[in-house]
Amino acid sequence: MVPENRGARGRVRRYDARMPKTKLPVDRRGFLKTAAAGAAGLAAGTDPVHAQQQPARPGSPAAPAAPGTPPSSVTLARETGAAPTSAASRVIERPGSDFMVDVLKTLNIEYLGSNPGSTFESLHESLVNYGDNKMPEFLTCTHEESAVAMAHGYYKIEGKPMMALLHGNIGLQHAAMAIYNAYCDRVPIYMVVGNHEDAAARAQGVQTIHSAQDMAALVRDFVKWDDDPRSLGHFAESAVRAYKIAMTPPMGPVLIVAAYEIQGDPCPTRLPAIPKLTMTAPPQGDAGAVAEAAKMLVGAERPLIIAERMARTPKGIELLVQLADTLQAPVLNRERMNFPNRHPLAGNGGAGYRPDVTLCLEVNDLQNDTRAARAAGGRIISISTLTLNHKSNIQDFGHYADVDLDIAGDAEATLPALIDACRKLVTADRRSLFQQRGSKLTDEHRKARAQVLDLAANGWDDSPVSLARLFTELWPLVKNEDWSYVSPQGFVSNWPNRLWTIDKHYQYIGGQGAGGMGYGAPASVGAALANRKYGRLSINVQTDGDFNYSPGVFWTAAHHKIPLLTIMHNNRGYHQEVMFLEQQASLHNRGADRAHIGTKLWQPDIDYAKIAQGYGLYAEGPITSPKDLAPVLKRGIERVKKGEPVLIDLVTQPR
Amino acid sequence: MRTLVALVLGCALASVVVGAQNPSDAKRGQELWMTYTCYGCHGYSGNGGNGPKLAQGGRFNNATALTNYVRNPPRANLMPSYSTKVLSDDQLAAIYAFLKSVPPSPPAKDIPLLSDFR
Repeated sequence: MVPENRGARGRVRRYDARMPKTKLPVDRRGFLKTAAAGAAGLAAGTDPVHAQQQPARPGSPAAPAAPGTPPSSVTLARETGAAPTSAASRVIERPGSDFMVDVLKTLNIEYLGSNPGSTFESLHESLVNYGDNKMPEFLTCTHEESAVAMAHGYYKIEGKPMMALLHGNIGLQHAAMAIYNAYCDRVPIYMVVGNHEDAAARAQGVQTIHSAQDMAALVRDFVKWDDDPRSLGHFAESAVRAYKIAMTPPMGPVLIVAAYEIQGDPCPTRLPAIPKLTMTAPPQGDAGAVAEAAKMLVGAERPLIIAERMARTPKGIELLVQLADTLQAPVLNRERMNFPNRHPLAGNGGAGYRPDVTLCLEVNDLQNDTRAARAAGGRIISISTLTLNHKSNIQDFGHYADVDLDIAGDAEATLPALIDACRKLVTADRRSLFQQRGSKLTDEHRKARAQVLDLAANGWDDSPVSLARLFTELWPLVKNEDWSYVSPQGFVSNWPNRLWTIDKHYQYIGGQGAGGMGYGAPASVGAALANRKYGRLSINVQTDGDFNYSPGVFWTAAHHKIPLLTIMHNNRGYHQEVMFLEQQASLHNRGADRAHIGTKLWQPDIDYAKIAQGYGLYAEGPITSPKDLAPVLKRGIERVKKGEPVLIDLVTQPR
Repeated sequence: MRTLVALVLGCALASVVVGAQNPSDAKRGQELWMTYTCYGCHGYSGNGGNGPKLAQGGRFNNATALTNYVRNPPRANLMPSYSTKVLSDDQLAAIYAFLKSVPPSPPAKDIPLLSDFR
């Protein structure tokens, strides 16, 4: 079955004036040789010149069938690979897509996620045959949103991009939501999209409707950079440049259009050069501004550090600990893992702590933090690369924030200079004061911890199962493993952060970026893919609403043997929206007795274990009693440790 | 609608209503709790979630205190207010009876698994 009618029906090779007239690495051979070389589009079947001139006949491979008309024998034969094609088939021994593979291999990309499509059929074939399906390895995805979101999760563990190979128009639009999530989360994704660029050479039907004049325009508002190379040499430059741009803070997804014609045409005898990739050093904040920030922080009575997308690497975590220890300042961690959650300075300093200087590190929207600082009579410093990559249409930067000191620069790259400047300013008197402050903050941290345990006990024996119970039961089973929590925490009331000890970058990888559902499942599979080679135990607590966007990614996990423990947070609804509707009903002075309409996933209840089993996973559930939880989790973990994905359907409290 | 909600989640809540001073009020309160989606923030048995724990009455000493709060919550962006048009005093009293009827959870110190986190 060819998804979305995207098969390469009636592929017509165009005649390209750029083709060398002599010494082409092109031969004419029989069809059997062609078919044996791979099914990805080498069967031409039509004389290239005449095919251009003649409109496709009804029922021919190039013509769309009339509604209700069964496929012709020719079409069926084409789709099943048994096409009785012309004996005069052309063979291209060295297509341009082989060179594209050479270029991609220089970028050291481990994996690409893709749903197959005819606009990149030549590149697909080159990747799996010429490239030996290694570096990158082709991962079969059932939806482009999954391919891109897998790359999103992969980056957050591995710290380098994964590739997504996308089909023209429709594949790119399927991918759009996941691209937007990555853009808002400042995550580099390396994307290539196919396109039939020569309108005169496109066949009628899918080749036409899956092509665009400016393919990247579909997502340009939320990719960091894109290009549409016009030659193989141009592709080489742009492919290397794209990687470099994606990985330079502020990071973001990049998109290269791979023209169908450039993929499929023969390579020139003399191949273009492949530029060497040299990475750009991240921008560091201005030295004078850093000195001023140090002065403000060391002079503060109650400093607060807020870290959002700060730690790009494990080194970033170490640096933030050094800064906090130097200042004895509390650190409020948001989004990704930036700061160990059991460090005594982790937290906001307690209810009575009113910061007089707040340092924001890679905080995306400073509005609320600035307002809070102003209300407490405090000042605010921002160190961020955000201002280096503003776009107009997407307004994810939020309101204008009138900070006191705004430093354009990568926070992680700037921290060494800031730490050094602070240490130089700390006198013995200040150090003594810092120690007193640190002691109070440690007490506050302990108090907050004790309160959390009381909260965790609430509803301990409830059925459906409380989320605190789930994470409490999980901890003894994972704490001695090299574990990685690969899903967002907001929908599970932040229980991992409240209960578990998180001190490594891969133990919490943050959320969607743009709040787009359909991220959780594929991002967790992508993260688990990155964790696989380290033998880490990947844990995904999967919300049911998110699951239903792209459940096919669990087949991808089974097919490619990606070990991952998925536990359904099955609260049978879009629970955030239940609460939103309650608010609206109250606002309109009406009851919330209809808040379930459009927000609940019941009648019938969805059987996630059965779905997972259908995709080839070991699965159990639904589990409703907390007493059944521990043995099921134990069985699941044992199987994951043997290398397979597992799903446990747990019926849960709403939050 | 009320029957529907009770059917869907009834088995999960069947063990909750014990020891109420007026069992019929508590049962009616439980139905209202589910119908008016109070569980959305406070959990199916009132043990908390996004919103605070209200089981055993939470921080409200009586139904009047709960009713006063629901009529005019101090932070309406967190807790929606409900007027008498939506929930009568009698209905809120029934909800309070339900909350009072929920058996208490064991204290954290009595849960061995939580000792791991101390």
